[in-house]
Amino acid sequence: MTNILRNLDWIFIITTIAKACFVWGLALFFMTLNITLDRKISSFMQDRVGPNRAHILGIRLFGFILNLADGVKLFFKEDITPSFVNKFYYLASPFIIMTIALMGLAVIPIADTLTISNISIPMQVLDLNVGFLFILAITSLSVYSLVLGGFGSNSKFPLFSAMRASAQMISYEIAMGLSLVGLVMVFSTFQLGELTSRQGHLLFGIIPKWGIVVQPLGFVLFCIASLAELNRVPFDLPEGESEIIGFHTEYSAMKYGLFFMAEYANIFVAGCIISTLFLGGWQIPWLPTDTLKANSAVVLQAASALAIIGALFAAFRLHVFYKKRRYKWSDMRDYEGIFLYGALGLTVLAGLGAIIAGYIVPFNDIAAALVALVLQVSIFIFKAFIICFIIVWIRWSLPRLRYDQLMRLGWKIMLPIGIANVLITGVALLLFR
Amino acid sequence: MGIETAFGQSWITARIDDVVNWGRANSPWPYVFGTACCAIEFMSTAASHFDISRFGAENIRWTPRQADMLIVAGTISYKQAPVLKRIYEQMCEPKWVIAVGACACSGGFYNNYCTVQGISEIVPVDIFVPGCPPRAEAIFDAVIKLQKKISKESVLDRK
Amino acid sequence: MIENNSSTTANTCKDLLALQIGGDIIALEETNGTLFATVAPDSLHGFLAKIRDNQVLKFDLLVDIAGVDTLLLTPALPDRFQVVYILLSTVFNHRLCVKVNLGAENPSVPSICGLYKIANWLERETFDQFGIIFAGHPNLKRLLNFKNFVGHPLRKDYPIDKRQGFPESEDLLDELKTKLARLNRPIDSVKITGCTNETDAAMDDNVPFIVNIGPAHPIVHGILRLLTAVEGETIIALVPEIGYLHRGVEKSIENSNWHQVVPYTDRLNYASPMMNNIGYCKAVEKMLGITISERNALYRIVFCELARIMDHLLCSGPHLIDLGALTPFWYLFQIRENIYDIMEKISGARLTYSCVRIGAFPYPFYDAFFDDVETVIKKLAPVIDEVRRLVERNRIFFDRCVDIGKISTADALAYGFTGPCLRATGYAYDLRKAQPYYGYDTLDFDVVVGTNGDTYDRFFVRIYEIIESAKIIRQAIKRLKELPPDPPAAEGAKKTKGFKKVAPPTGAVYDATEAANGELGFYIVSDGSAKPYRMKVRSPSLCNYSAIEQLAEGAMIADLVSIIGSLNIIGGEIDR
Repeated sequence: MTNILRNLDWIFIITTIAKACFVWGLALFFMTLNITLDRKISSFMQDRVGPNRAHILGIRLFGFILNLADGVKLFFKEDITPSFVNKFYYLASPFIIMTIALMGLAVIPIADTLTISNISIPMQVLDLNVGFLFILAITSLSVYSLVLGGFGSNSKFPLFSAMRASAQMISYEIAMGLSLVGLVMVFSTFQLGELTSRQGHLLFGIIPKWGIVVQPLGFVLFCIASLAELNRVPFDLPEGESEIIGFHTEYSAMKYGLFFMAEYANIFVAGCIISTLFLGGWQIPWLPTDTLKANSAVVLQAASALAIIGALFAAFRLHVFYKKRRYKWSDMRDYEGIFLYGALGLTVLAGLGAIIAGYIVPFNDIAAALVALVLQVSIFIFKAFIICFIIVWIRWSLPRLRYDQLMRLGWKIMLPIGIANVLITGVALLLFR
Repeated sequence: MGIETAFGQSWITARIDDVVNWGRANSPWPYVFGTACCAIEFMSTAASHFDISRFGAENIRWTPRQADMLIVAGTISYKQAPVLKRIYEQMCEPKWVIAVGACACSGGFYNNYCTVQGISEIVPVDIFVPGCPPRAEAIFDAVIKLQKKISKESVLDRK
Repeated sequence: MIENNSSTTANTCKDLLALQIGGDIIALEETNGTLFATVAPDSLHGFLAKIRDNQVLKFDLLVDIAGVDTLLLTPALPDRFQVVYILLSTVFNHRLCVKVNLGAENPSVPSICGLYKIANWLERETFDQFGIIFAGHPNLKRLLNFKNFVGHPLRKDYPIDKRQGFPESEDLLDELKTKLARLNRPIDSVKITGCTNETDAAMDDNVPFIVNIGPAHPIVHGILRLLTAVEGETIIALVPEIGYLHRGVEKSIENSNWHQVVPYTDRLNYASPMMNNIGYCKAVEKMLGITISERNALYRIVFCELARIMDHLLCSGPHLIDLGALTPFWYLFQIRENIYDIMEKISGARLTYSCVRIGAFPYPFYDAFFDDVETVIKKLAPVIDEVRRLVERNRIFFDRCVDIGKISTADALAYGFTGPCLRATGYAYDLRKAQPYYGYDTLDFDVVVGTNGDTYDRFFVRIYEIIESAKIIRQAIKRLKELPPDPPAAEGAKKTKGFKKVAPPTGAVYDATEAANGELGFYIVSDGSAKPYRMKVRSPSLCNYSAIEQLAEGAMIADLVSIIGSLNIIGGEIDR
């Protein structure tokens, strides 16, 4: 027994668990952020305010605390299992979708491989050499949840939803896969860590070789296909709120909560995937990891300066906001400003500390590697966030497609374009290699 | 009802009450059973000038299983009454009912053969909102009063 | 002074009728500017067929069927029941009310469903409320009251507050079975439970899937019910049911005095309440022989057009939400809020104003009224532009709306369509141009017409009508500012304080205005007392909605959403 324990690769186990926790934490945090983003962006686009009353001790965080209230409420709500449902599928379905939403992040590299002296830790939870296919396979499984949930509910409107979901997601799987064939051809690897590193090369010496630059058509196709996989407008037929209510009609309390949260977690996962494949992932344009590590002090100082400027700008906007507000809550919410200004002040102080540290403290190997890691993770999160924002933006701008029009789009329009993309990519590679 | 009642009458339950009531009060998901003119006024409440989503009531659920509060906005006729009752029964606990408008409270000025004289004949009502139709601010007042009512409840009430 | 010019056309019609079809007519008279022809029950069908197809008369639109119970009229009439068929010729612009007198025992008259498709529902309603049997009607069931209701509520011997307890919902399967039998898809083994495994024959391919899109559903806005049989997602048979918002308005009106009717009319089409008030007051003024001053008429025009804008905004916003385009609703509703603000300053209420009185306005207008209205009109144009930009050339919107819910002009007229739904089919009939009132003929505006009669056309006819209404309002305000102030004696201090006693002489009248949904008409019978004896509201939404079976059968469920959204279903009007 002790032999087995001694022979285990402890570093690998510990780092994997740490990475998994971090990635899951990120996904869950971004899930709530996506919900808030959805509400706040829709409010902004619709000329209204959005949630701003749920607070803990006066802190509202622009509606973020409402997610906590939602969660608490759903957790303590009565959990009805109707007598006419098929119990196994009905109960399994929300868990399947939540698991799959979180599993998709297992192969996404959040930063470049961390090399400290002779230890090299890849920044993916699971360093598969077919990481690419793993993502496609996992996202295909999410259709099971919708179909089983709808069918298992043994009720008519969820059945409609399940039928639509299965047809939709299967059609767009194909478009999704095809749009990525070109990408694989250009970068010649399935391994996501490698793929992201290769996106750091420069085309013609100037343009970073991101996926979107070498495969613009593939990018568009993949984005549309992932919207369909996410069941977001304009493809939210299975969940067509005003038509058939959705596959979650018979679900209550936390089971519904899982569906609700899984949708938003999936948005984050889609954002991560798109940014990894097409937007260079953790790559900071024109600054590969070695440059970052070599000039880590300067980089840290520059990043801190940006952070300070950002915090000061945010403080200014906050000041303008409070100046223009004409109402008072007469409770703790009036003092939210103290908390927010305090947080921004701490950011400024931390930034100044980092700048001073950059001058005083000598940066050794570990510090340089850590600086590079933090920056790359931040850029990765930022890119994923941009994609989430665009997905939410699209939701509030476009109407919903009808069932047969959606299928026509997937099979008759996107499939041929995908094939054409593969052909064009092949020809271009022949000519330019 | 669930594990939150495990401690019975004790200070732990009171703390659980605080948390649970906070959650329930701050995210009341409405099911809008809107039939007549009061439904139009409810649409105004959800519109950008007044905006009920500030109270966390943004998620208007179209299935009663996921909704917390049933907002009955409009006249309920005898023909509609079984439908209302069924929707109420399908909702999950805890649930509250807001009767918006004179017709839902008492039949309004339709004192005749086909109008239910107040939905409290069919479902238990928590908040009555008078008006024909009530202003959007009156509906907000109802939501705020409901939030206060929720915060005074206890998890032991709905065993 | 604004004159009602329908009397000249009535004269022409009277002469024509006497000349051409004199044989069937028992009596022909014109009262209160309305032409009435009394016909024997047996010759009704032949008479109506003749005047529908006659090239000089061409009564192509059955406007309404009103039942009247003359039990309490003094002097008592020999026949207790009257059925009045109100007809309109959209080609020649004349109206006719054909009256049939029926005895108290087993009142029966042949059905005219074969002549006008809208007669199906109108006759069902008359049967429901009065118990008059329409012989030969394919499906003579109650329309507004629940199935097991005992008695006929609008009869004068039915007490107004005789309630009958809580019913069970009807399952409508019998009607669906008849329809499906015609398509060779029997469903004998089915009973509706809402579950997918409700029948042993569920796996049988020949048994279609039965889905109840019930009153509590977002598509139908809480007030309609559709029992559909679907094949995949295509609807093969559809049975509509209405009456979930039946509030007994007509019975309540018989119990109120003439001024107290105005709040009831507010709640008919609650999306554009001012138009209902004005329509009712116009009908009563026609009975009383009052003509209102030009100033009053122009104010009424401003109110009507503001109401029309409100109604079209209310139709378009939720239609887009049902299609999935969630944002324009909030932009469109903001303009409604601005109009609410103006009406609140005038009348004190945001939605149900009761802002018009018979013969006058109840209170003087506030000083900044014209400026406020101009501000709203100015805010309207960019909002409409924004919504158009989001939607007009949107490929997804095209796919969802073009060629969906198409109806031809002939079918539309058979179903009694009026208003934007009729104009979307390409037929330019607008009461404001055809039978102008209050000076609409002196204002410059266009009638917006579609081409296909599909959802896309109905949607955009409404959007462009908003722009035309804005034009009308600007001209009316300009005229109002130019008008000299009325001398105090003409307004009459008495009229603005308290309620002048209104008691129209014995008789009947039918009068109509162009409401946002179509022709809103009031058939009023007065017995000279302080309360209306009978008032039948001609509901444009009911006629528009009656075509749902034809529009939706063969369409997909997603199209049903689009169709219902574009027809502008207002429950208060359909069910009254």
